[in-house]
Amino acid sequence: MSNAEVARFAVPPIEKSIVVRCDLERAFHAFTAEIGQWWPLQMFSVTQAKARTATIEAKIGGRIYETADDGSTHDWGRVLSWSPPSGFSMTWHPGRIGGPHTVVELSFAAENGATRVRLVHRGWETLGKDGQGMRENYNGGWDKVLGQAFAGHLERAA
Amino acid sequence: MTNGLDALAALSDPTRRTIMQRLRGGPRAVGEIAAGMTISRPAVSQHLKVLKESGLVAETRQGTRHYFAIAPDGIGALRSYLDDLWGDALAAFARHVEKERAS
Repeated sequence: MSNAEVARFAVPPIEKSIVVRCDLERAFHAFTAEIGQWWPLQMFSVTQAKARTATIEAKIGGRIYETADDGSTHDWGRVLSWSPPSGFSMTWHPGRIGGPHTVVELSFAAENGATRVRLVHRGWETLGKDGQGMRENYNGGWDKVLGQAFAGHLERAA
Repeated sequence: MTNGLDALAALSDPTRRTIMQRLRGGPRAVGEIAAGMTISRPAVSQHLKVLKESGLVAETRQGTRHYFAIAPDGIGALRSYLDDLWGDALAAFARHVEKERAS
């Protein structure tokens, strides 16, 4: 395999950005404390149609989880850093907890009277990279992100 | 058929993730992939079939030997799927914020 081919496998992190018309504090609060009001549970959740709400616990080490209609909770990750209103980061491994993980970082910045929200999802992109240079905590990333959380999703799509 | 969902399904299995890691260094024959694994060679072949169908792995022949390699297109589809997911989530967040402003 040529070096060029190898390079093509080094998939970069996912980066997203959106501007919302509210101030910084409001944006951070809406994203975190109100995640249950806007997160597209039908599109992304462990329990799919049974999912009722999502929660981010506002502290380092706090859980990010969904609650199903039977009251059961299903972890998506843990809060790694918490700096309201400028940002927070979380591990991301829906359906499983502990061990290696991928990381999602959110940052909020004032911009022309509105707020820019940036999202970076990294750690899952190492597939295909040289294992020698891979950071240890990436090793199980695929397991966490791409594993059980999507099982129901995939069964529906099949 | 190749799409992000197929790739996610294929990678939900730990053995298949191990196989993908072994293919990081370049194309491998089944025997090389199976070396040192605790499952049988036919089982490895079955996993390779699933990875192939998901678009993550491509098979090539050189004479009588079959080689398997990571297929960049399949990984692209997977990234695209996750990219869409976050895009939709942020769009839903923006709608939530705007809705409150309007009310």
